[in-house]
Amino acid sequence: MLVHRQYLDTWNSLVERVGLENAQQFWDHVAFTPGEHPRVGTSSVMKGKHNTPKWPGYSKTIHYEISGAGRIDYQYDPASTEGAEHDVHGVVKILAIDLGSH
Amino acid sequence: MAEVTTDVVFQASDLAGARRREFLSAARDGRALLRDTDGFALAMVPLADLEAVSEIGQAALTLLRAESGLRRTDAHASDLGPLAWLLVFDEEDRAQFVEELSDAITLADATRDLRPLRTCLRDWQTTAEALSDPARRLVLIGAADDDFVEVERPA
Repeated sequence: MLVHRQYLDTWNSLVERVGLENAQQFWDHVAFTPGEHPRVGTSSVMKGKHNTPKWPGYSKTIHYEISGAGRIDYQYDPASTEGAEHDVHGVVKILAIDLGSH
Repeated sequence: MAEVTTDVVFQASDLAGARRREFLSAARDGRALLRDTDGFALAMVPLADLEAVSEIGQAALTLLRAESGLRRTDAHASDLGPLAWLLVFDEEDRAQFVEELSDAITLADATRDLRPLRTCLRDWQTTAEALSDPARRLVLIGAADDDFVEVERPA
């Protein structure tokens, strides 16, 4: 799981802002089933032409709502070979986090 | 709009008589027509159908208003009514929204299933909210970079 550096501080305050359970639910969802609808909370594919993958092999941008407490935007690659070892593994890149007005 | 036909027109007196169950059954099946003693026509329909028709009609009117507003070169929020959030999108995305909402309205009308309509509106509005935040907008529509940091499961 990768977080854009711009939102690292926000990520680090995630537990404090939304609670440990919600934060872990988000993590577990995107770690194992990032392309499915979550059992808790809601998600939707970003609309408009800017939702396209930012890197080869990645998904469109997905908005995930953390139980009314905020939104996290991410893209994922279920079979990435990024990294030093070039093994096939899933990668989730968190593009943006909004915990402000929810 | 799905056409519902019925051959039977009930009378007000049927509500107190033996045909009351028949009247209710027709209503539950889609629509029951009733003629009051002065000839005034009434219809009983399932509440879900009435709510669906109302919501679909409202969505269609909202779309018409928005389409009209979007044709203006200097569209303002007040021109778009409940869809004022469309202003965060450019012309191409607005056109895509109009097409998707038109399809969703048609589908909802044909099936009386409001989910496609509600999903369409909710998803577009969710993206509009994301793009209305300048910092998020920059990331979401900007060019990709690789300034990412690996993080652990919250604990």
